[in-house]
Amino acid sequence: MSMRTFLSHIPPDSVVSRLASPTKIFYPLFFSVIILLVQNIYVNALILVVVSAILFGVVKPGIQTVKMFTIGWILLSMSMILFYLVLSDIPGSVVYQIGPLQISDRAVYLLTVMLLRFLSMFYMSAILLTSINQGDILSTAEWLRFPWAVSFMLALGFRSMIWFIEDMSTTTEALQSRGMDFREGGPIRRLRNYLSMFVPLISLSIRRIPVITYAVESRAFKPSFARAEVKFYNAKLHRIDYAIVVTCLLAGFLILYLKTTNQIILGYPF
Amino acid sequence: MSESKTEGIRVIHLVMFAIAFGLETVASWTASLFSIGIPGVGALWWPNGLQVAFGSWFGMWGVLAVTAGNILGCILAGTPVVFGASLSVWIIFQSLLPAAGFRHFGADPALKTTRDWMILIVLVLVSSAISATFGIAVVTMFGYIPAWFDASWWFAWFVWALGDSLMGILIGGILLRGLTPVVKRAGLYVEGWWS
Repeated sequence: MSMRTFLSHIPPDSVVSRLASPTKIFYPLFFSVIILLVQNIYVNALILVVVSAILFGVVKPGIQTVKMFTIGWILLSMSMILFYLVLSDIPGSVVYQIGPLQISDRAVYLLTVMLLRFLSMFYMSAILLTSINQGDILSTAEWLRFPWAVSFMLALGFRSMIWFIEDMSTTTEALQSRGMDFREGGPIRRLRNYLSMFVPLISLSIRRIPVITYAVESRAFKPSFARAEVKFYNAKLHRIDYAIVVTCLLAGFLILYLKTTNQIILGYPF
Repeated sequence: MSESKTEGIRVIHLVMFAIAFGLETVASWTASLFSIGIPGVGALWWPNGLQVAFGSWFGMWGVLAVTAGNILGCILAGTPVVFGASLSVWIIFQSLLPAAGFRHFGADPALKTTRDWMILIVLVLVSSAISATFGIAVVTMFGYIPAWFDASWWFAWFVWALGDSLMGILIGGILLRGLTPVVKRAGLYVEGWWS
C-alpha cells in the first residue's frame, strides 16, 4: 500500500518507503544547513544538481509539488533581484548601467549564488515534505526518546489541524447561510467579513479543549515528562539508513575542512 | 479540572498547547502563502492575532505552542527548513511580550477599559518591532537582503513591523474582547506562566 505523505503518495517499492523515519527527516535538514556554508557559484551549482537528482530521480514528487516550489522560488527571485540590483548599492566593477542605476559584477555574482542556494533549499523542502507524514515526525520524536507528554502534544496538535480546517469550512457555510458574502464588496468590507469569522472559529476550538481533557483523563492518562515506556512506532535503522547518515557526515566534514582551509573553493572570489 | 488555580502541570495544559499549536500551524501556513516575496514574511500576518490571544490566555503554553506552530506552518508553506526555523523563532516575542505585559500591569485580557486597550496596543507595537528587528537580521545574515540598514532592509522591516502590528491589534483585540470570558468560564485561563 502506498504511503500518504504531506504532499504526495509514495509507492511501497520506493527507496523512500524503505528509509527509517529519522533518516527521512535528518538528511534534508542536514543538507539545508550545509548549503548555507557554501558561497561559491560552481559548488552551489553542483549542490543544486545533486539535490535535483535526489528530488526527480529518487523521491519523484507530483508535478504540482514541483510547480508549487518552483513558483515560490521565482517569486522570491523577483524580490531578490529588486533587493540586490535596485535597492542596494553593492560596490565592484560596473557591468551594466541603466540611467542612474549601476549594476556591479559583485552584485550579479552574489545574486546568482543566492538564487542557486535558495533553489536548492526549496527543492530540499520539497524532498522533506514529499517523503514524510505526521507519523514520521512522531516516530522520530519517539526514536529520539522525547518525553511522553511531548509526543502526546505533537500527536494531538497534528490532529487538531484537521479539525481546524473542517471548522473553517463549517463556520464559512454557517455565515454564508445568514447572508454574509466573502467574495463580494470592497477590500474593507471583505476584511470585516473575514474578521467576523474569527470569534466563532476560535470559540469552536477553545470549547473542544475541556472535552478532550475529560476524554483523556477518563482513560487515566497522567501528564508525565518521563520517557515513554510503551513504543507505538518502530523506527529501526537499516543498512541503507547508516549509509546515508555516513555519506552526509563525510560530505559535511569535507565541506567544513575546505571551508576552514581554502576559502577560494567555497567562499566568494572577491 | 475547571479550577485554574490548581498548581502543577495537568492534562488540560498539554491539550491547550496541542490545540494552540495546531491552530497556529494552519494559520501561519495560509499566511505564508501570501508573503511579500521574502519567504515567511507576510504583508498582513494575521496569525499574530492568535499569538497575542494565546499568549495572554495560556501563558507559556500558548507562547511555546504558537512559536512551534509558526515554525512548522512556514516550513509547510515551502519556506526552506533552516531558513524558516531561524526566521520564525523570533515570533516568540509577539506572544511573550503581551503575555508578560498583561500579567505585569494587571490588565484585564477582556479589554474592558481604555487602559487595557492602550496596554495591548503598546505591547503589540513594541513586540512586533522587536520581532521584525531580529527576523530581518536573520534574513540579512542568510544573504536574502544584501546589506544592513539600506533601503531594502528598511522596506522589509516596515512591512513586518506594521503588518504584524495591525493584525495583532485588530484580530488579537477582537479575540481577547470576545473570547476571554469564554476562556475564563471554561477554566482555561492560566494566571501564572505555567499554571
